[in-house]
Amino acid sequence: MATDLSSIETAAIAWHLRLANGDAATWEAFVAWLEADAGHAAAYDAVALADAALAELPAAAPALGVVTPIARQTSRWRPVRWTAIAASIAVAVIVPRGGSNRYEIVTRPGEPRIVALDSATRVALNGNTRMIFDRHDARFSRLESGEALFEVRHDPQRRFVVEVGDDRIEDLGTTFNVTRDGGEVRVAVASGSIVYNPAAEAVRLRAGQALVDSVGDTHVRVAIVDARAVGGWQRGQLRYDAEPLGRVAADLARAVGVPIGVTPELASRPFSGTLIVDRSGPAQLARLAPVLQVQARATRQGWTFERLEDVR
Amino acid sequence: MTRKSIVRNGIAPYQPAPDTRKDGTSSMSANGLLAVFLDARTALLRFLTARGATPDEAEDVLQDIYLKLRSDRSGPVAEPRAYLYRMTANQWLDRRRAAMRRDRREAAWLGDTGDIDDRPAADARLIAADNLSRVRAALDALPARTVEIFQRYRLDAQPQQRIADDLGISLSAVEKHLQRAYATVLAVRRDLDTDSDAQRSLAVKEGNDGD
Repeated sequence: MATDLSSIETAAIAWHLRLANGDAATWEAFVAWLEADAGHAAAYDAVALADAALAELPAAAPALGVVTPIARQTSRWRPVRWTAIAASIAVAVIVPRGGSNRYEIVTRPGEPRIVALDSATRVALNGNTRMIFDRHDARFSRLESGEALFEVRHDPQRRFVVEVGDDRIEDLGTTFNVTRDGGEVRVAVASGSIVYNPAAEAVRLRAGQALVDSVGDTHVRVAIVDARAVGGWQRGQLRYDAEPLGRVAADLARAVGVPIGVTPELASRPFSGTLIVDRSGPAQLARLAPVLQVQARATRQGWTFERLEDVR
Repeated sequence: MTRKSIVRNGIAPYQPAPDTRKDGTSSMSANGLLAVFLDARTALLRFLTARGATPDEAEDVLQDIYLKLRSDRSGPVAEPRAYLYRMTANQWLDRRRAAMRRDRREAAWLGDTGDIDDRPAADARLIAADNLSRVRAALDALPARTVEIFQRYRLDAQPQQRIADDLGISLSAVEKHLQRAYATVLAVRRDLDTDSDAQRSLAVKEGNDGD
C-alpha cells in the first residue's frame, strides 16, 4: 500500500496538526493557505474527514480483561458471580499499544456489556454506548455517549470518578446510573451517594435522587426518583415520570437496538409509565407504541414515532 | 467552570447575570465570547468560504454557532478567536459528515445501510469492521514509537508538547511521527475508497439487484 502523499497532502496534515493548539494568527495563516490554491482545500478536507472518521468507526477486536455480556438478572442487588468469558466473544474494544494506558469500549445498539474494573467495581454499559477506561487506574472512567450503570467499591482515599464531557461525578460509595445523550447528562443514584461537579455546582445526590444537566439550561435540575427503578434498563424496565418522549425514544433505541426518530411536536410530549423491554428486537416497538400513544413505523433508517391521527 | 444554580423539584430560583460572580469579577463568559464572535464573524465567513461552503451554508453554520454561544455556559476561554475558529471548523465538519452519510461512499465506509443499497446490516458491519482492521493493520505496521505517539495524541488527547516532554524528544520529532501516522490513515482511506468505487461501478455494470 503506497503511503506516498503529494506535497500538498503532506502540507494539509501539517496544518491539521498545527491547528490543534493554534492561536488566531495560525488560523489566519491557514485561511491564506487554503485560498492560495484550489487543491489545498480539497486536500485538507480529506485529512479532516479521515480524522473524524477515526473516532467513529465501530471497532472489532479481542476482548480485554473481564468483559461479560449481561444476562437478564432478576435482581441487581443479589451478588453475582462473575465468570470470565472466552476472548472469542466479539466485544467492541480498541486496544491501545505503546505507552497509552487508556482503552475504549464501544457497545453495539441492543448489546449491553459489563466491564469489571476490579473485584468489587463493575460498570454495565448499555447498548450504543462508548466509554474510556484506564488499565492502570481502576478508579477512572469516562462516558463519551450512551448510558452506564456503576456499582462502585467505596474507597475514601481514592474516589471513583466518571467524566462526562466537562462534567464529573465522584462516588462516595454507590450504585448510580449515568446517561449522556447529546447535550444532556442525567445521573440517578440507587444507593450510596455521589457528588456532581465537585469543583463547580457540587450537587450531592443520595439514593432516590436524580439530576439532569442540559447544555441548553442555566440550571441543574434535581428530582426525586424511585431508587429501585434506577438502572432499570438492565432488567428490561424503563420507568418514566412525566419525561419527554424524545428521551424515551433514545432509551428505547439503546434497549432495542435500532435508531428511533420522533416527530418534533412529539419529542417534548411528557410520558409517565413503565415500559418492559426484552431481547426480542425492534418488533416489540409495535407492542409498546399504544402505551406511548404513538404510531410506530419501520423505515429503512430505523423506526419513527408519529402521532396516532397521522395514520393514513 | 461557571456554576449553574441548582433547581430542586423543578422550581427555578432567581437567576443572577451569568457572567458576574459573587466577588464582582467577570469571566470571558458566553457574553464575552459572543462579542468576540460578532467581531470575528467576517473572518469566520471567509474561513468557511475557503473551506468550500456556499454563502447559504456559511450563513447557516454561523447562525448555529451564534445560537450555541447564546446558551453556552462554559467558563473562561484563553484564546477566544482561535476557539471560535475551532468551533466553526467542527461545526462545518459535523454538517459535512451528516450530508455525507447520505452519500454512498461515506456510508459504505461507516457501514451504514441507509437507503443506499439493499445490503443487509450484518454485511455493512462487516465492511466497517474490515475497514477498521485495515486501518489498524496499517498503523500496527508503523514503528512502535510512532504508534505510541499517535495513541497519546488521538486517544489520550495529550497535547504535542506534553508528548514531547514525556518522551524526552523534540516537538518537531512528535510532529514527524504524527505526520507519518496520519499519512498512513489517509492512504488506507484513499485505497478503500478506490476499492469501493470500483466495486460499485462493477455492480452497476452488472445490473446489480442486491446480493
